[in-house]
Amino acid sequence: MGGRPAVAKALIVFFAILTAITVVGFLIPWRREVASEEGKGIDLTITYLLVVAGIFVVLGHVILARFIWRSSGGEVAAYGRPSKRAEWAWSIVPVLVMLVLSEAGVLFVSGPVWDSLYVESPEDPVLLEVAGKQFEWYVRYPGKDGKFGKADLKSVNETDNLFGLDDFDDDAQDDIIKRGQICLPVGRPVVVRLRTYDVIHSFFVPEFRVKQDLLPGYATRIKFTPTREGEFDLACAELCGLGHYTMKGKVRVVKPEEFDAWLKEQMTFGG
Amino acid sequence: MEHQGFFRKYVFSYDHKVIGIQYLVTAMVMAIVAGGLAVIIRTRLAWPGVGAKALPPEAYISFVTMHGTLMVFFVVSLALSGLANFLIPLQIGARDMAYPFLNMLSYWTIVPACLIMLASFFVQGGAAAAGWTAYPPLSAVKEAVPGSGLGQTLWLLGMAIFIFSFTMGGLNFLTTILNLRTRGMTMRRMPITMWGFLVATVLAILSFPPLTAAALMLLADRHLDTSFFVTDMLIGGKYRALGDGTPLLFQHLFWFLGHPEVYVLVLPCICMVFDILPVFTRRPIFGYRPSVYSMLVIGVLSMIVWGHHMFVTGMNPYVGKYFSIATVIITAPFSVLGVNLLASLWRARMRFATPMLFALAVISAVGLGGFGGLFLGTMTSDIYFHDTYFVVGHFHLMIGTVTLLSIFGATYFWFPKMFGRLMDERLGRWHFWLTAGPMITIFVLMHMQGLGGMVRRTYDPSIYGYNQMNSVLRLPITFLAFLLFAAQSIFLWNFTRSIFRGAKATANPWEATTLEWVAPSPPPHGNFGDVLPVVHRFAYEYSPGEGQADFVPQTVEKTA
Amino acid sequence: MNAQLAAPVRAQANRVLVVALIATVAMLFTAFAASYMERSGARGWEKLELPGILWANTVVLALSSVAAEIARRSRARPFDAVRDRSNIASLAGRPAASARWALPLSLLLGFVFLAGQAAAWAELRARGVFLPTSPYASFFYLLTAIHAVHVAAALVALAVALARARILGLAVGFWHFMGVVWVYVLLILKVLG
Ligand code: HEM
Ligand SMILES: [Cu+2]
Ligand SMILES: [Cu+2]
Repeated sequence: MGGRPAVAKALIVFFAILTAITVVGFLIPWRREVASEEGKGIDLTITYLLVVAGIFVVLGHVILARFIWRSSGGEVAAYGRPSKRAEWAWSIVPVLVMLVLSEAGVLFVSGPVWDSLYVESPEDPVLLEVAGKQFEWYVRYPGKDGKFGKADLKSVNETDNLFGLDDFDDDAQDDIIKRGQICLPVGRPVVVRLRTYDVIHSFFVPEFRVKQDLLPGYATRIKFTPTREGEFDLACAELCGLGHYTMKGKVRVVKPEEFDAWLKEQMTFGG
Repeated sequence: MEHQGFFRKYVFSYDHKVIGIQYLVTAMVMAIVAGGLAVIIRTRLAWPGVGAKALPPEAYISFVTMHGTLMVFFVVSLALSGLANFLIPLQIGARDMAYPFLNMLSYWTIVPACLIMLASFFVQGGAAAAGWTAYPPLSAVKEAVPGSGLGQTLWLLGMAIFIFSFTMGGLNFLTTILNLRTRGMTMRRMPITMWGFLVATVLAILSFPPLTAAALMLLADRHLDTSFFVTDMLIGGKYRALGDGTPLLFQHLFWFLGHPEVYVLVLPCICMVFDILPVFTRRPIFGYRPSVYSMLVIGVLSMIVWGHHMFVTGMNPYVGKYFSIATVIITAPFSVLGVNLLASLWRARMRFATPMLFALAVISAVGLGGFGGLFLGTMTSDIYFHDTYFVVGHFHLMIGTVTLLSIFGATYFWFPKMFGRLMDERLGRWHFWLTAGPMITIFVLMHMQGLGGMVRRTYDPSIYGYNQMNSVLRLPITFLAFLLFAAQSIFLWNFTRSIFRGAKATANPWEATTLEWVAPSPPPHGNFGDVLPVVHRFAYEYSPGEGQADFVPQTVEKTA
Repeated sequence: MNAQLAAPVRAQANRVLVVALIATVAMLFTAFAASYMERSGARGWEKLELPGILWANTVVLALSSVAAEIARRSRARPFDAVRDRSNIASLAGRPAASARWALPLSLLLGFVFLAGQAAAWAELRARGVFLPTSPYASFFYLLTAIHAVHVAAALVALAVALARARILGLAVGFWHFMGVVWVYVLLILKVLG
């Protein structure tokens, strides 16, 4: 191909490299091994989208390279305006294809997971409350009665009353309080009530694939079902101040028996 | 022509071309600052163990915040204002904007806004540090983060002035495009860039006011003890009764602007690429009408999907679902734009001048960025990706890469019209390879870090064990960022030198059809001499037929 | 050749300008209204008795709008005509007597409205209701103050129209819009929440 300018070839190589970086990059398993039921559903959505997007990104770049190749070989350009029919056809096709593929992703791949996360209420869940404050996580289990004692921000005391519980509140007596440590049984759904003492934080455990903001003045909620034992980082995902990056907690998922034993060992608020 | 003093001609000029260049140069200056901040951020992320004294967390967070703010509002928005100012009257065949005085005013109100933003680095507590999204209560309470002192006040003030100026500019764009078109320039004959600016302007005019409202309420919360957004809290070990506001309200108002703002930035850029392509393919663009309709649909949809930024805030799940369904509808009209960009290269005869190189790279970036958006618009995958580097990579591809590459292409393309001289091609090519390559790669790699779960706005990601694997990308990204930043000196040198030393340009150096190329290079005050051009045909008559001229300017009369 | 536009083009551009301006201001108040609704559904929401003078202010603003409309309809560019009697064209349009007093009256009533708003704020202060007193009070002050700022800007436009009749139509259009926004604000404060 004598007439083809070097820059055309360079462009084709350039787009080939970009495509290769993208494809290889997305094929590498960057995600941590998934550790929750809902996470598997989310991973399925991601996989679905990776396939859809991957096909079109590769196809698009192949066409791009092909057009550059064809149009740089010295032929003259075609004559005349593109026909109206071709223009509309090439608009309606991508519209239909993208509508079907993207809405299918939302409704059928993503929808069931979303419902299980936010709409349905799980049976016999492990209940706990996690409170965020600059830059720490406080954790509370309701204890045997399954009821959280009333918490009041005004009574919070950093040394011996992390949740601001009332000494005379019956519900509060058996509450179990931990600092930055969550322990959970494997295989049972977990519902976490989330509160913040100050600014917005966000509860994020990459292995569970779930994330939920903590909103001042409100209690939010997140649900997940751990599927494997292990120790995972709990990260804060929403900028919350200088120490945002240090706001790390630990989530330990253990066998159900081990969890029950662990619960029994813990000191309760009432002592 | 009456004699004009230096000030009237170059400083407080009413001439849309001068104002356009003023905007562009201002954007370049701000880009150096904002780009410098990006380099500092990347340096820190590459070597998290060192330099905590030189760059403490408070500086880091405010640098991230100001980098984002400056890039979105004071670099890309301003550069586009510059190009809009320069191009609108020329492409529609007008002598100037509809309201030249207002136009001058809108530029000179943006200058204090820039200065206020820059000054905020030097006040007590440093510049704003609540992220470019400025979510309260972090941005509302001084004790929450040092930048939420005076720095945040200046940030809000700067933004308010910016919005005021941008609205004035937008009113001018709108009235000019709608009313000042020359004879024969019907809406359907306009270069598509005019449609891009039209849709963008309407979006901006409708979507900025809610941000103004949010800023006013936030200011009241900060300084007048109201509680629109703030709630009782325990901060710094002290209980503060601040009321019981609704912090989510701010996010709704912010993203009601924030999402359309993306299209305010991206649509004109894609349209400028549409305008550059035919000149270097010698073919009409493909799908002018479907593209225009798609943009209108995108414009409407973009105002009703803001909630996709808030999937994990605990919003009502049915509302969340609605936002997801509505959001991914946008992929349909958007894919029309992508397909038409590609198809515009079909059966062409390419000329590989620098503007064309940038235009081709934009097509790639539109594809990569667009499909990334699908992951974030789909509600459950966004639960995982929200606030990770996947998001950072995605929005940089769209509002960083698509925009900057288009703006570079447009600058090379219209430079001869601005200054009557051409930019150097050899330097242009170097600049292209060293910009497009690193830029796209950097942001694609950031997606990978996001896949690994790396959270954004973190001073030291190495604290988390799960970042171990994706941290292999830290150094490559940073080195590419250094390269990218350094390569911009080629552009600055080429730009400055070519103003004085570039090869002289004829009126129509690229052999293009649209009206700006009928005017002399550079066009005199009033643009078109004594009589305005009259338009007789579509904007893209390239290779119209066998045996005819290679291109037919819009001013050439149709023969029967 | 200094970009002088033909009169009809200028008039059309002006019309687009005012429509766009109205659209952007309307979005501002829509945002406030949406915020108000959102907030009124949350905790600690309690409404206040509105100062009675607001109703008088409403009437004043309505009258001002009527006067402005009379001025616009009389079309005869009263002040050009008064100043420049040789300008036959402007006299030809049969200057109605109303042309002379309507616009100043409208302006005057506009200022009376602003004074009335100030009185309403004073009354609330006297009752011990300040900006941060309650969410409703915050919204009350915010909405009325933002409206007052826009009214002041519109009054400036009306005042300019005294001298430059060309923009009379625009200024009056925007002035009517300010009246509409006021009714909107009042409805929100009275009915919603
Ligand atoms: C071209 C070189 C650029 C590089 C290397 C770069 C790099 C970065 C980095 C490292 C961050 C911090 C991400 C984080 O930790 O949260 C960031 C944030 C950001 N950048 Fe860029 N950036 C570049 C250009 C741009 C451009 C052109 C825009 C234009 C819109 C932009 C807009 C933003 C925004 C909005 C943020 C978010 C700030 C925040 O989190 O509050 N950047 N950038
Ligand atoms: Cu945080
Ligand atoms: Cu968005």
